[in-house]
Amino acid sequence: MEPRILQVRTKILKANDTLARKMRQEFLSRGIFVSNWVSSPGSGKTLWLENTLRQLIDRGLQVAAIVGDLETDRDAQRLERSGACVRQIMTHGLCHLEADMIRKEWEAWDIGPIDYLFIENVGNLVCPTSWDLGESLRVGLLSVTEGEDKPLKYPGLFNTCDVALLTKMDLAQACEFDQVLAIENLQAVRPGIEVFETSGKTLEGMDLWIDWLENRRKISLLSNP
Amino acid sequence: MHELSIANEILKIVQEHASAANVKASDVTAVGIRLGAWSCVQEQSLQNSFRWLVDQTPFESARLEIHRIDEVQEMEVQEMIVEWIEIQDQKEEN
Repeated sequence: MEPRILQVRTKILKANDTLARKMRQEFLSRGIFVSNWVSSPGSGKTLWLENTLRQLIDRGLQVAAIVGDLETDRDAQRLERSGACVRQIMTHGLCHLEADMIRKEWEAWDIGPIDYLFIENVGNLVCPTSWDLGESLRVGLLSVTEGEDKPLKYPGLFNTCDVALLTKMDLAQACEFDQVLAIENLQAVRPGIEVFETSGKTLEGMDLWIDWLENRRKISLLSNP
Repeated sequence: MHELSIANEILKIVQEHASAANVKASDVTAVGIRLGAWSCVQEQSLQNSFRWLVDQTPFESARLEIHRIDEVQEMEVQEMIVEWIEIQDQKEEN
């Protein structure tokens, strides 16, 4: 008997995508702007996020963060220094966060109204690419110590980002980092991406970043009343 | 290693569609997968993960046929799709 073909044409991550879409709508309907931060380990995500949380708190905004790591709650402890509410997800070997992990954490969290929820993904330039976490903004970070060619080597991840942060700019000269080339490489894989040059040590770029973030949050909430 | 999570989602989709079409798990002989150029999936790792999941289960006859789209313009570059399931109906025994 000849084999027969059953047409399926279904997205492999349909279940995750459906849940993420529902979560995004729910977050926005509650006035919560969610961002998902992705980068390699050691790119300076946690320091820049800690500073971002502190700046937003200073502006009178309510902020919270969920941070994913394979082991330890060290990053949650660091982020808590900002005064924000923080939850740590330990994945125990899993290389990325999934929407259902965020949902479970969120539903178990007794937290008041917030304006921002930041998700610091597991440090990895490959695996987090495909998982929508219900965010309205995906932030990709690239440190000057990694080299300008990272976007070309990991186009999948940078292609999914809405904005890129060049981090550790205080080390750019020592690393002979070519920011023009880095931006060209980012634009090659994600045309039109916004790029900020930042330093967690000197806070270079912080005011511009916070203003931009606030603008994005307001636009996002206005577009989803 | 995210390929294991992806393989698990593929198996769930196969189970769902086979069940809806009244197809026995043991009759599923192949699963057609389409991957975008920047889907960040390592094919051998996906094959190994799928094999590990279906071994010694009713779906152990199923193999993955992966079709990678190298053209960045051809489809969503991140796309990962289960395209089809191949079924080999068993002969009815008298």
